[in-house]
Amino acid sequence: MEMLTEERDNVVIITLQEERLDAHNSGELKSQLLSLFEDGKVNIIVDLGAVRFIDSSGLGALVSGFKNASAQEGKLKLAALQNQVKSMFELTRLHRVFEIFPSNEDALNSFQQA
Amino acid sequence: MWFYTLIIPTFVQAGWLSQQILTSGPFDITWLRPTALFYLDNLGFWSHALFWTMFCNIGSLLAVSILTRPAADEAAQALRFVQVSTWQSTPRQRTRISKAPTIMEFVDLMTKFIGEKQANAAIASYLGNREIDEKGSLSEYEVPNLKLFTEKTLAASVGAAAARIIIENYLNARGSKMEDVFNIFGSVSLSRKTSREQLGVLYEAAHIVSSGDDLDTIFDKILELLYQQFRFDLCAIRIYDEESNLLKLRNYRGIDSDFLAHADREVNEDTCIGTSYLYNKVILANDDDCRDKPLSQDIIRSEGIKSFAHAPITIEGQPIGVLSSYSRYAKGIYTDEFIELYKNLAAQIGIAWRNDQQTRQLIAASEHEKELRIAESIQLGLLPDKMPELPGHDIAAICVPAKQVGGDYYDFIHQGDDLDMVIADVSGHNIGAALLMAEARTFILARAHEMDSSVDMLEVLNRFLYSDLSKAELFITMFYLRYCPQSGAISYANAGHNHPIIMRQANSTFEELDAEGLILGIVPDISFEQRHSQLSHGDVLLMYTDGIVEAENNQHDMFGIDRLKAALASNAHLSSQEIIDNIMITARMFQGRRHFNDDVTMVVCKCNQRD
Repeated sequence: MEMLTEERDNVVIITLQEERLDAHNSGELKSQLLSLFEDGKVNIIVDLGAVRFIDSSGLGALVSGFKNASAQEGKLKLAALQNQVKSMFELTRLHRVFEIFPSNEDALNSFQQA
Repeated sequence: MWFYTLIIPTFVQAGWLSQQILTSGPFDITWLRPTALFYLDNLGFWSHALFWTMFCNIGSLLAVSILTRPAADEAAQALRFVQVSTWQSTPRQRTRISKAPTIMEFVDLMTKFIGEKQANAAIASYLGNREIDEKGSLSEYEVPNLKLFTEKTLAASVGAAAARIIIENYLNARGSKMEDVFNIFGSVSLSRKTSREQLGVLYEAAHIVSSGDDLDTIFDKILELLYQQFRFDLCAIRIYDEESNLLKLRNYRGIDSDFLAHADREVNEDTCIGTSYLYNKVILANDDDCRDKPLSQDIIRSEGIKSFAHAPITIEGQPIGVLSSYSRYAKGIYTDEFIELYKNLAAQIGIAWRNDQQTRQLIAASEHEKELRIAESIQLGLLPDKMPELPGHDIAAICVPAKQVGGDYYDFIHQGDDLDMVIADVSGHNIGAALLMAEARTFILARAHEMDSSVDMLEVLNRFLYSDLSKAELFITMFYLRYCPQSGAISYANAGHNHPIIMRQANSTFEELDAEGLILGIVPDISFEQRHSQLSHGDVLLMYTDGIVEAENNQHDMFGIDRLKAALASNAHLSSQEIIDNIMITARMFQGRRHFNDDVTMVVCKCNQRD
C-alpha cells in the first residue's frame, strides 16, 4: 500500500495514500506499525486524510497498533478523518478509544503538551 | 492320474492287488474303476489312461491361470509374445509424430548448436528442392526426412553420435517440462571436440531436473553427478538467505563435518564465493590465484584445496546462489569445454529452484483456498437451521458468505415467552475468526438463560472473549435484543454494530436502534447502555451487518442506510422472506454485480397481529 512515513520530534507520522483501508491492504499497515514498534518508535500519528472508506479489517489494523503502542507506553493517534470514516468510528464507538485530531499538526501538538 | 489308470491295473495284473478293484472299483465304487473311470469304458487301456491324464493336466493348467494373477514382468512378457503375432504395433509408430514438429522447430534446434546464420542457410538449401503443402508447412511425409537432414547437419558439427542423442531427446522433450531445460542445454556452444561424456552429463542433469523429485533430491543427484564425473573432492550448493544475509550451504557432497561448521559465506568480495555471487560470474582458480582474498586463502590452506570452481546459480539472469566444486589433488583442470558445462549445470540448478518455488506458490494458494472453505463451513454451521415459531409474527433471515469470508452470525434464543435475537460480525477472514465466533455462540447459547438483560449478556461476553480476541487481534460487533411478543416490548444493547431499523407502519417512519457501548475485544470491561423500544402491529424490524450497506457500485457509491430504508419501505407490505429477497435484488441492481465483497446478513421480524 502507498504510504509516507516521516519522523518529527520523536513522533512518526504515517500518511496513508490509499482511498480504501480494507482487507486487501490493512495487513501492510499492520506490519509497518509492528516494525516501527520493534525499532522502539511508539508515538505514532496515522493520517487518514486520503482514506474514504475503512472496513473492519482496517479498524483491526489500527486497533492492533493502538494496543501495541499503549503496551509500550506510547500512543497511536489519528488525524484528518473524512466524514464516512469518522462515522465508522462513531458506529463502533472506537472514537472513544482513539484520540482523533482534525490535522497532523493538532495531533503533533498534543504529543508535545503531554 | 497316470499312476491310478496305468500302474494300479498293472499291479492287479501282476497279482499284487485284488482283481476286484478292476471289476467293481475300490471300496465297491463302480465309477472309480481304474480302467473305466467315470464309466468311461469304451476306450482301450492306453487311450483311457492318456485321456484322463491329459484331461487333468490341461484342466488344472487352465484353472490355475484363471484363478491367479500373473506378476507384472510375466504379464509384460506375455504381452510381448501376444503382440508379436498381431499387427498392433503399427498405430503406435504413428502416434509418435502425432504433434508433428514444424520447420521452425528444426531451425531453432540447429540454431542452438551451429548458429542462426548457418541454420538458416542449411534449411534454405534443404527446402530449395522440396514440396511445401498449401498451408506453408511441411507435408508429414517430409518430417522424417527433415529430421534426418537436421541430424546430418548437426553431426557435421558435433559428431554423429551426439547429433543422434540431441535429435531424439529434443523431439521427446517438446511440450514437456524438459523443453525449458533443453533451451539451457542448447545454449552450450558445442564443438566437434565435445565429448560424448560431457553431453551425457548434461542430459543426465536435464533428466534429474525434470524428474519431479523434491528439490533436495534433485540437488543431491546433480552434485553426485558432478562429483562422480569430474572426480571433485567437494561439491556444494549455497543459496542466498535473505534473513541472515548469507550464502547458506544447502546441499553438498564429499564435505566433512569440519568444513560444514564454517561453510556459510557472507555476501562480499572477501571470498571468491561472495564475489561470484555479487558479480554474477564464474570464478575458477588454483590455490595460488587468490592472494588478494586472505579469507579465501585461509580456507584453501586449511582444507588443502588445490583448485576450485564457482558458478552463480541464476533465475532469469539474477543470481540466487553459487555452485562450488573443489579439488584437493588436481590443479588447473578447467578447460573451456568444462566451463561451459559447469555454467550450464548451475543454470539447471536455477531452473530446478524456480520450478520448486512455483510449485510451492501453487500449493500455498490452494491451502489458502482450503482454509477459506473450512472457515466458511464453520461459519455457516453456526447459523440456525430453521426460523423460530412466534405466533402472530413472521421471521426470516439470510446470510450470503462472500468469496473472502467474513464471519457474520445471527441467532434466536427462546427465553420462556420472550425471544432473544442476536446479530454479529467478527473482523478477520480466517479460521481463527470463525472459531472465535463459534466460541461466542457457544457462550451465548449456554448462558443466555441466566442473563437478566441484553446489557448483562454483552458485558459478560466481552469479559469472556476479551483475552482470546485480543490475542488474535480481532474484534466482534454485536447487537443483542430481547423481544416480548405479547407486549411488543424490545430491550437491547449494542457493541458497536450497525443500527437495526424499525419501520413504523402507522406513519411510515424509521427508528434506528443504537445504544452506548464498544465493540467486543478492545478493553476488558465495557459498560453498555440498555435501551428500549416497541414493535407494534404492522411494524418491521430489520437487523443487518455492514455487508449490505457497504455494497459499492462502479462509481464507488455505497448502498448505504438510506437506500436500505427505501428498499425496506417499498417492500414492507410483503412477507419477511419477500422483503429480504427484494432488498437483495435492489442491492445487486445497485452495485451491478451478483457477488458482494463482504458477507451479507439480514434478519427481518414482522409483527402481523397483536391483540
